[in-house]
Amino acid sequence: MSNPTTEQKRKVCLVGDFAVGKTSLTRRFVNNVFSDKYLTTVGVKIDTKVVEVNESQTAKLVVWDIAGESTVTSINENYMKGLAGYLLVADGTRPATIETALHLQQRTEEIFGSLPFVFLLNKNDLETQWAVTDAQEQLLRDKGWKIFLTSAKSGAHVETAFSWLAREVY
Amino acid sequence: MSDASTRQRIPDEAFRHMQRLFIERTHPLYLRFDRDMKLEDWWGDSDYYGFEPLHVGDDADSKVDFLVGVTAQDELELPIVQTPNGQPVSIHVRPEDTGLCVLILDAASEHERQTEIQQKSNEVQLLSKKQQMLMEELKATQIEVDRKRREAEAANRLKSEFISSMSHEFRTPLTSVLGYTEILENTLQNERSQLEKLGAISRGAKHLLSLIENLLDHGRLEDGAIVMQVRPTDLNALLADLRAIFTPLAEKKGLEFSIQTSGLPADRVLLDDMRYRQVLINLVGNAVKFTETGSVVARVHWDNGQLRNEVADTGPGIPEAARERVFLAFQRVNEDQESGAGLGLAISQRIVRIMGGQLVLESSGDEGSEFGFTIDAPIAPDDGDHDPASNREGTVVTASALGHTVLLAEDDDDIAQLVELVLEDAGYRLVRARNGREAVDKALLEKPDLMLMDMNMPVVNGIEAVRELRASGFSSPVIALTASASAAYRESAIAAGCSDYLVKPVDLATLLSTIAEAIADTA
Repeated sequence: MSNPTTEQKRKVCLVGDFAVGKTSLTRRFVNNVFSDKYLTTVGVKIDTKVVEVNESQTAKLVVWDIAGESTVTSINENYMKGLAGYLLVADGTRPATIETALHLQQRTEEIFGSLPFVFLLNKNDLETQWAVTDAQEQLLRDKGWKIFLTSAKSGAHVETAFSWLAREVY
Repeated sequence: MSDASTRQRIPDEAFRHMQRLFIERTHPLYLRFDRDMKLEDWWGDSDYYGFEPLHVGDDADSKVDFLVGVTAQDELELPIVQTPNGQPVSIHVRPEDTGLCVLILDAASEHERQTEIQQKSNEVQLLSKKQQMLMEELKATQIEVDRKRREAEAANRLKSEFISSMSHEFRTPLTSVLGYTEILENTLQNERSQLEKLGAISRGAKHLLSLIENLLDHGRLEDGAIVMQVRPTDLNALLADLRAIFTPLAEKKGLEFSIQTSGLPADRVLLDDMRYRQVLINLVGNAVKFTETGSVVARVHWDNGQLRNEVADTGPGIPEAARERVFLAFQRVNEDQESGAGLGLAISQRIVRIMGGQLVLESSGDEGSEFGFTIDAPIAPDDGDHDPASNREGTVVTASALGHTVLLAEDDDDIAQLVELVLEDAGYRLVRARNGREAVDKALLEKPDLMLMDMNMPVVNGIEAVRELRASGFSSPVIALTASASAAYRESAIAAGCSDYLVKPVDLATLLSTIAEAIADTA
């Protein structure tokens, strides 16, 4: 395997309603840790992680974990400036957050154009509270979107989702 | 006012003071990049924010993560961003002719303030959402509970109806068994061994009857169909009856049995004597049944309209584990208990409740058990109503049976034969009808002195038949005979025109005295 070239940086943003687990997903991805305690994010937290794009190349993902909002505000628009891709996050136990994610995707595309993104239905560990039906999930898949059922708590599909996006933005 | 004019108006010393304070509190870091986004110069403490060491010529996005994707033409206000070491800052990006200026200021206090507000607001929203979901779950659970309750009530109603209807059906054949036994006993006075066998049949049938009575009572109590029939009652006489019933039974088992009274009024008191007697019989009956040695004592105390009752025995006591369910229907204290449906205490408890009291297991242990209850029993007014049925035994029969015709309307042949035997023995002439229609026709034709009318008959039922007879001017007394013991049915029979009402199985002596009394009244 050849030496990796100097890491190129790509900015990706996590967007979604409040308390859907954006910070937890980032912490699981970057630091491999999880906490049940809910701490709201104000503004934005920036983290970085080196990911392997292919056998000969690594890249540094600059992950912007943006405070949850139900729409793209002008402030959030500033935070998202320069993004290469994004992760839409919804909470599978709160179906209303899927509607928010759909709206955010539409607004992001209007403002920044068509960019790679991935849709995460998070909190998949909460089986008894899970409120997304197979039909609703299929509707999302029918859009041709990349969907992952993730759990920041167990780590399920978190690394896979970020890696998939990383490859898309390089 | 322009920035320059503001600056001119502030004295140098004050301006320096302000500068010092601003720098101390906001830790400004100023970065300047050329048009290719290479670092040209910087001022401030980059270590404070955790940046890697900066060098002139560094690429913007290699050293400063938040500038990834930003161009020299972008103008941005980023109110709160956390730097690599977690320090919250505000970032102000402004394009200039020669490149891009970036000013970074400490925003820790603003971040703290906003976090506190936002955290509370989000938590309230999450709680509200959770509460809404719980309310929906609660609502769904309530609907489910209601549905199950309705199902259980329907099942219970069906069970009660089944018990009632079966018990009702049992009464008619039992009337035959008991009646013929009585006749045989009378005709076999000298046949000792035969009499013993008949005695066994009689005891068995009477026991079966008491079980059926209990089942019927239980069904009626479950339906709420029992209404207390309060009437003036002589407590002393009632307790003397009780003593007469249980003394022989207790003596047979070698038990001491006593009824101790205190404060009983000489006047009659108002209560449902039949139900009160039923509760005492249940309690004393149980005590005698389960006590092998020692004594059974019933204590009855009256004081100022309150009747206190206690029944104590020296029996084996009720095991602690069984005490809670002792008042539940169909529960026996011991599985090997020899007889009974386990209804006596459940029925007694319900009756006492309807009477305004509470039947309580006062104590139970190795030395025996004691049950107690208190009910209202006020003194009856002098002219209190007097039910002739309650005092039937004291009636003096004066009418002679000879020459009197009785029309018996009864579809059951066994019962009819039994009544025929008894009445013809007593000297009555008997005419038989097998249904309500025939009863009406024969009554109008034969003009009997009295009619015995079964209420539940084919073609035309008893109530309709009586109504029709009364409408046609038939004036002889009509005594209703029925397996239904409910007060409501009794009232409807009387309203239709019946003179009296007897519940099957009828004691033959009572039947004869009732007939004689009714005929005497018309004479």
